[in-house]
Parts: sequence; structure tokens; C-alpha cells
Amino acid sequence: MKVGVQVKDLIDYIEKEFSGEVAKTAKEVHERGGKVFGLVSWNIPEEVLYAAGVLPFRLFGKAQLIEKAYTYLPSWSCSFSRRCLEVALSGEYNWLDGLIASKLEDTCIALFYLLKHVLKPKFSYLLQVPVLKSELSKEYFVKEVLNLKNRIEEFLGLAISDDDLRRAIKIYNENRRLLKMLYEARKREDFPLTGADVLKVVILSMTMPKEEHSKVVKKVLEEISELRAQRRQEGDADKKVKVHVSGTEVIDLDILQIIEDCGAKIVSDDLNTGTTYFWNEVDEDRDPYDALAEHYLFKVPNLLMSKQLSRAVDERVEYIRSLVEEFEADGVVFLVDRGCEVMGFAYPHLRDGLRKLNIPSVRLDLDYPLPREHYVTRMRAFVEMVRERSA
Amino acid sequence: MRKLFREMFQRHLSRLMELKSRGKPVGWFWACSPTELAYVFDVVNVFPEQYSAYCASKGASDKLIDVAIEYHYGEFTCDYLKCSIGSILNSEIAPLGGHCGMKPDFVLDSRMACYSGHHAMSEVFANLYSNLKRFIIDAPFWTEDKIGKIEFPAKKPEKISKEDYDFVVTQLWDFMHFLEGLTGEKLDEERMKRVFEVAEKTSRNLIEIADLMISKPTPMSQMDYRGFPLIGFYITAADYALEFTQEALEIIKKRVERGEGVAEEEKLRLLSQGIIPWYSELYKYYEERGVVFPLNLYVEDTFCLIESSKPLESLVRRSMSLWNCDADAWIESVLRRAKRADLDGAILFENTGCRLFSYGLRRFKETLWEGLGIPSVIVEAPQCDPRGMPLERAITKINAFIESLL
Repeated sequence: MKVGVQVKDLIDYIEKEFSGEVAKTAKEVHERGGKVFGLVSWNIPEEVLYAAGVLPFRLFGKAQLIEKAYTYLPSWSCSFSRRCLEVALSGEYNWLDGLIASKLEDTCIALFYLLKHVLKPKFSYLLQVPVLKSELSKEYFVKEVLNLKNRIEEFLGLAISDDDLRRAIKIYNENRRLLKMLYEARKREDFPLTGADVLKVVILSMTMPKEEHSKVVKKVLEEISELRAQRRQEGDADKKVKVHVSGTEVIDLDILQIIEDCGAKIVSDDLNTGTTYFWNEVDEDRDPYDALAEHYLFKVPNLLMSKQLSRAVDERVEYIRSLVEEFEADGVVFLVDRGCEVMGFAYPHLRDGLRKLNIPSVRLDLDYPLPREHYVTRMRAFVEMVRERSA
Repeated sequence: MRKLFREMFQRHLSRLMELKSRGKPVGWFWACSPTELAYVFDVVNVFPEQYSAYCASKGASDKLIDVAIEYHYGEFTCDYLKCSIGSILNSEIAPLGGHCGMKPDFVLDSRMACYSGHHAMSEVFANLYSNLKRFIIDAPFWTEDKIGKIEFPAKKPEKISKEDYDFVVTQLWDFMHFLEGLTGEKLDEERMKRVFEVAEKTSRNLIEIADLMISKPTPMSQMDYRGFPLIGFYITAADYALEFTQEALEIIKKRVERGEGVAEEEKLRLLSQGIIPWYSELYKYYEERGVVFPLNLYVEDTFCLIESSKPLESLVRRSMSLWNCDADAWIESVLRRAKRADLDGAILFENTGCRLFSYGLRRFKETLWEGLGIPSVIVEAPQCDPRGMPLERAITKINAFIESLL
């Protein structure tokens, strides 16, 4: 398949931004005098930062040999925390103006304090995100988001008006809609981008200004229309097994490429670096703080939050089921980082939940360096099994 | 002391059996949760973490862990969880029939210490037992701006921010209403008062014992002290716990007065942090060689001053353990205590799967050195899986450290 010049350029740009040089765009923002706050967690109401003119920059670290991070971390820690800390200890995050994490997950809390110790940012905040989806939690979280806003105002010496926040919500919602359109486009057999390319686009939205990112997504969407036409003419729309990818912080694009090299096509995901980040929109018609609290507590699927007397796993299984159905996926690939506590607990129940729904799944244990042959063997067996089922 | 402890534990088991025979509901509770309420409502209180520690001490944990891993639970999740799950999935190989044969009616998903761990474990139990009710209580991670500095081990902070206090207290009331519904009994305020009076006396005894432990020579073996989390975390409100701590306190007081120590000659005084591998007798091995442990932060972090005049505030403070508070809030108090203990060094046990604990260990090591000039050694120590760190290797590492101190 020939790749359109513009899309290729964009993907190259994204590739460079994503893995070649850590945070090129964010660093430029900082060098121009803007403020950039590093986010340890994915479920922080970034709109508040954006309204204050701060660029929220999700920390991922980068794919590299881990040496320094083991000074602080146990050998069994997850790759996400190892990578982040490695970059921080290498001095490559020293330029960050602030640091924010949510208290939802033990890893994020512990990593937040380690990064705070290493980076000594001028601003830091641990956001108290409640685990219980209830009205009481929402009231509490509204106050907590206001606390965050007050702290940012104090730090920057400015005031964040409700209109500023409403504007930020609109900008974020537009970005969410565009990303969703990109995913919608994946439903077509002739969708020309790889799963890794799509994930690059999503991850990039967590590290650069949203308006600029929205322009990137618009360009990608324009280009893929042309590419689809070209692809149809060439008639190379190959039949592949469509898969949904499930996991938490997946930032390793190689693993997605391996999956697709084995006769599968990734059509959807429930990754924290994928749909769970952008799938639903914030209500623009209500009080902005109330709307943000509602969104981040109730609308964002999260394996660590649930209603009283209910189970988060059930909600996640339902979320996966809805995406599998919508995107007509033939099966689910679980990507489980061996050090990830969340998946370490949830995986057996997610698998069992999908089994009850007759959705086949396979688990790939993420370990580094990636044992390619191991993945290839498992994926090929899975693809074969799924093909037989649907034959 | 061990005999007294065993008697107390037997009385605890008898209480469980007696309540169970009367048809009282079984609740599973985690560390730092409001377990006093189990005594207010006559709930059969079972502690999966403590049970897992028991399995490890009986040499039964490795097989249970294998059962959990075979079922694809993560290898690097908490040993307590794996052990507990193993005993549910295969109760035939589990000591005491698995969690004392007490199938839960509810699990209190108290996110008051270990956030993702306790929650995920509760969720797992809710998945493994049909009809299990999972009740969530959420507390903040206590940052310094919310509580100021906090006194260890009483867990008395300079302040508690109102919105956070109200948030937790409202949930405690919701939990009491839940227990009312479950037991069919209204909250008896007089009874609650009595329960908290017992808890206050027990907790004061525990704190006094902790203070006596830093005497010279160290008056009690860690082989005895390591059992105290059962009391600190779970049964402060039990009359048998009060009686045990009273007797223990008297014994220790006398030892201190007489200048009796656990070692014939104290060569080194070390701080111990982290959960000791329950399958090992590491403390005994070192105490016999003159290495004593006057300060065990893990054990003492299970203590909390309960005030019967402020029962709900006490339950809120219970969530202010070292692993649920900003280190900036507690470090001064801990260092002051360490200084009083006149320490030569520290052994820090890194517990596999425990993020909040283990991620901060190396930073704590730096702090001990910077703040007190105390060197320390980190020892990988899966608390229930002897295969994760062979004892011989742990001993070699600790011996090398000790030799450098002598």
C-alpha cells in the first residue's frame, strides 16, 4: 500500500515526537515561556490546566534501556513507571513546570512522589479522585477540582474564569469528536492506517496543545479519505481478523505492529492511551465544574471506580462488549504488563466475562525487551482459531 | 508472651464461631478499615491479609499462590491476594478450611490504605463469590496540606481538612446504615460507646508498648511483636485484645524495670520496616546473635490512638498510615522516634507487589541516611512466597550489612 505524502509526513512527525525526541512540542511551548505540567495519570481534568494556559503533558517516558530507574524502583515495577522515572533521572524532564497525579492508583501515587523528589517541580498536586461513583463523591470531586484550580491560579498569579473553562471544554470536546471520527473510519475494510499509527495519533493528543492536535487529526482524516479511494482502486483490501485491544497504559507501538503482522487488524481498544481517554464528551451546557466532575467520575470507563455494591469489571466488560459489537471485532487481545497491578487483578475476570459473551480472547504478557517470537506464536494461533470459528 | 497471644487468638476464633452459629453476617475487612464497627454490630470479622500471613507461617502459602497464578492473576500482585484467592479456588489445600471456613456475606472495600490493592481484591472476591455484597469506603491520600504534620504511631495530625473529614465520615455513616440493614439491628449508641472505650484502652496499651520497645535493652522479641498487627489493624475493640495488651504491657514494663533484654548482649540496634516474610524466623536468627529491633515501623503503623469521645474521627485517622500519607507529613515524627531508639542501621523489607510500600523504600533509605546518618539495606521479601527470596540469600545479604556495621 502506498502511503499518502501528507499522512506519511504526519505519521513521521508523530513518530519523531512520540519516540525519537521526548516532548519536542511541549518543550518548545516551555521555551517560548509557556507553562507545561507533567501528568502522571490519565484521568485528570486537563481542561482546568488548559483554561489557565498550561499545557498538560502526559508522561510516558520512552523506550530505552532501563538503568537509573532501578535505583528507586523494584525489579517487578511496571514498564510505565520504569520508563517515566528513567527519563526523569536522565534529566530530560527537568524543564517541566509542574507535576500532577491522581490518587486513584497506588503506582501513580508512588511514582508521583518519586518524580517530585527527582524533579523538584515548582508546582505539584495530588488530585483526590474518588473511587466510588456516587453523588457524595461528585460533590467532593467538584470541590477537589476547584482546589486544583485555586492552586493553579495562586501559582500562576492569574484567575481562571468560568468562560475560560467553558472554552477549554469546547476545545477538548472537539478533539474528542475528531478522534472518535478517526476511530469511526476504522470500521471500514479499506481503512489505510495501522493500529500503531492510530495509537500514535491518540497519544500525541496527550502531549501537545489540543487545537494544534485537532488540526493534525483533521489532516489525517482528509488524507485517509483519499487513501481509501486509492486503496479501493488497487483492490488490496485484504481480509484480516479484526481485533479489539484491551489493557491500560500501552505505549509500545511495536507490540501493535506485531499483532497486525500476524494477520490481525486492530479496530478498537479500551486502553488508557486509547478510547478511554477521549470516548465521551463533557457536557457543555451545565456548570463547568459540575460537568467535569460528572465526566471524570461517571463517563470515563475506569477499572478502579464503580458504583456502590457493583463491580468495575462488569462495567469494563460491558464497555469492551459495546466496542467489539460496534467495530465488529472478531476477538480481543489483552495486553498485560507483567508489573501492572490493575490488569494483574482484573484480567482473569475480564477474560471470564468475555467468555460468557462468547467473545474469544488471547493474552500477551508485556515484558521488555519484547519477546517477538513468543507473541507471534500466540497471535498466529489466535488468528487461526478465530478464522476457524467464523468460517 | 506467645502463649498469651495464642490464647487471645483462640478467643477470637471462638467469637467468630459463636457469632456464626447465631447466624450473624460474615464481613471481610482490610487493614486500616473501621473494624471497630464489627464489634458494634456483632459481625463475624475475618481478615484475608491476616489469614494469608497465617498460611505463610504454616508453610502453606506457596501452593495457594500457585493456584492463583495458574488462574492468571498477576505474578507481581500482592502475595496476600494470591494466597487468599488460592484458598478460595482450592480450599482443600488451605489451612483452617480457607479463611476459617467463613464465607463472606460482604467485603468492606475500604480504600483507606492500599488503594488499588484492597479495592481490586474486594472486586476479585465479589467475582469469586456470587451474591457477595461489596461496600466501598473511600478516604483521601492524606497530603501535608490536608493534615499538616502527623504524630507517629498515634496518628494524630495537626489538623484534618473539613471537606475530607466530612467526606469520610458521611461514608462511615453509610456503612453503619448498611450494617443496620444487614443485621436487622439499629445502631446501639451505648454499645458503640462501650466498644470504643475498649478500643481506646487497647490502643493506648499498644502505643505504650511501642514506646517501651525503644528502651535499652530491647525488651521484647520481634517474633512476638510481629503478631501485634492483628490487634492494631483488626481487633482493638475486642475485650480479649484489651486483656492481652494489658498483660503484655505489664510483662514488658517489668522487663524494662529489670533491664532484661531479648538478647543477652545487644550488639546492634536496627530499625525494621516492611512486612517480614511470614514463613521465616529471621528476627529470631538475628536476635540470637545480638542484633535487636527496637523499632518496627510496619508493626507500629498498624497502631492508632482510638478516642472514645471521638469515635468517627478516630476511624478517619485510622486511614493515616505511613503508606496513605505524604511522607513529608510523617517523616519528622518517625525520625524523632528513630533517634530516641538509638539505632545503628535499618533493614528494609521490599514486599513484592506492594507499590505504595516498595516504591518509597529507596527514598526512605536516603532519608534515614540524610536525617540520621543511619545506613540501611533493602532486602527483597515477598511476604508469603518463600521462593521469591530464598532465606539463605536474604541472610547472606543482611549478614554482609551487619558485618559492615560491627
